Amino acid sequence: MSPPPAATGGLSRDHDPRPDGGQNHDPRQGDRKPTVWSGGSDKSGGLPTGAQTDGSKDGPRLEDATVIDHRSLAPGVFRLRLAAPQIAARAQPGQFVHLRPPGPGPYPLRRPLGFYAADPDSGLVELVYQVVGRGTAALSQVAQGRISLLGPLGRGWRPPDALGRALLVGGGLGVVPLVPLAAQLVRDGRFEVEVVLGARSVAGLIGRDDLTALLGAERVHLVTDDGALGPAQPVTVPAARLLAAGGWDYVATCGPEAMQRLVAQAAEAAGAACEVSLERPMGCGLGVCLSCVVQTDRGRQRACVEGPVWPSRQVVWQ
Amino acid sequence: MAPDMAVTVGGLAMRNPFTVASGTFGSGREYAALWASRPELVCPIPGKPLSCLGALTTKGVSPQPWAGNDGCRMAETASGVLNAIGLQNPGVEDFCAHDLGWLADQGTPVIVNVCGHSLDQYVQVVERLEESPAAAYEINISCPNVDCGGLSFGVDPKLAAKVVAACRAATRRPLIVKLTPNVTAIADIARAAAEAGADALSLINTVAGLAVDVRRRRLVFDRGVAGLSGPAVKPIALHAVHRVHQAVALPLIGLGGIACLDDVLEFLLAGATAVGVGTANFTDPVIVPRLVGELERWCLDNGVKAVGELTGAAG
Repeated sequence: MSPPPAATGGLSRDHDPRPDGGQNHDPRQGDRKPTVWSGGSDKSGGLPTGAQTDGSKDGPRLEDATVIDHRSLAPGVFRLRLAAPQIAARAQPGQFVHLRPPGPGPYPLRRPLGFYAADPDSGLVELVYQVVGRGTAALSQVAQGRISLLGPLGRGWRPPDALGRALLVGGGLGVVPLVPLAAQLVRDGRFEVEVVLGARSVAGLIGRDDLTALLGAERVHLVTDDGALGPAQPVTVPAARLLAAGGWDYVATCGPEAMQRLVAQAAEAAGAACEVSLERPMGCGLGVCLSCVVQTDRGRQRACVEGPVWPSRQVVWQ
Repeated sequence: MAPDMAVTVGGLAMRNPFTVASGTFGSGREYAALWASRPELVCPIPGKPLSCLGALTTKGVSPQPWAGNDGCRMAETASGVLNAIGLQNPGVEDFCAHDLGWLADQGTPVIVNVCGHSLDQYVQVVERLEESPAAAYEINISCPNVDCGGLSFGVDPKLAAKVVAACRAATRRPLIVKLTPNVTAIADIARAAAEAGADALSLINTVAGLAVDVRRRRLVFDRGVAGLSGPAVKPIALHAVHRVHQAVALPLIGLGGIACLDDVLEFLLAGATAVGVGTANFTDPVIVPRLVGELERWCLDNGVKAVGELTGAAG
């Protein structure tokens, strides 16, 4: 199973997905030296744990963030580092910001982008996104200046309180919200963490280096559709194999919805608590417009308030 | 001297000409919290951020809970937004129990948007609200996103008049009727609503539109049709406001694509007494308090003593 070209996972959504998935849009790949700071692997970076902040009660903020760094990680995939101290102080893994595409362009809607990292001490946040439409294409051209963010929004990951083993399964850009989750789980020290990442090709294995630095190579399982790293198979195959071996207490997954559903089924069969992260076309981001609803066993819930992360058993898969 | 920013819309006194478009503001709690986090926004009543609105227009309220539409509910177009929410709401009892009491204490009059699948259902909602602190009703006969009721009442002058007359019989509160642009002669609908007892009109609701998912070769929205809003519809809305202002003597709330001060001024000059901001709340969630300040400053700078002088001044 290949992820559909426009699917980005991790709440990196545009409103007019282009058939080419932005694969040809890559104006600045490799034109800068690699970064040192990385929220996913730097001890001082990463998202605060749930115990450290209670920011969500405080509500989201509207903040004009300053672009600190913006670079291509892979064809059509960018990492945007911003100074946004109010939002960085409140962000939790699995939450997102609603970003206003830059310039006077005709973009009435903001774009929801998941946190790749956030650091309350430095006030920096990192967003990783794929160019999938005109809003993200315009964003990818920004080199400096300010960008309006609304956030942090939504309900992030809520791993169980117990000790145990956690498996994080990311498809394509679905890895984005899993990186800060991995950092938090490692910092908390309650879970042994392993990750399975899948992408169409090696270049699409975003977050691989940060996760390897965080967890060690033996705990980061990689698979591609083109078979460059072994059997050509979807990420659900090695994930299901690991889960079937048993011993997992918590599974978190993000990526194309069909992939998440398969991972959730395998996790539930293996007796693990599983959380999924779903995306929908989104309007306000605040819970008023009811555009981003997901069918759950408690009725329709909003990806921007009750989601984007849900316990898999609550989701009524379409 | 500070200009007089107050307006009266069909008996509803507003401290300034600004309200919000139904469905883009929920019941106000989310925006109140966000506005409160912006210390630079000055509100007439300290601690009550929504008091900077002339009036608050709620999400549509039906007699029973409505689940709304299945499938995709929103898509962006060039300078516009298509929505197909389908008036999802928890029903009038839940609205009264959880939202209206709080809302009525926020220092701004509450216009409750009323929807129904039948004439009786509109009346049912109005009757239920009569004992509540609602300040006015906006009768929604113009939503393109429900099969039964909604738009079907708004495209026929006789049916529109029936709904308005029935609601009129149920209340003495200000009755605002929200009109659809999806008609050949909007002035005919406006006249019918006026004759049936409407106190004011709001226009426009969304413009019927469609989107196609090329990759999947199917329609984006399950019902096909969706409602277009945002800057793309502003000229259509201005034309409707101007036309209706010429045709009927009722005060008008103009809305459709307002995104900056010039847009507000255009609607006032074309014939609106008040304006509603809708889709722009999504783009910039603090736009309304900003526009309130900008309009007052503009009036001061341009020698306008009362904002009402602007209504219809463009001829």
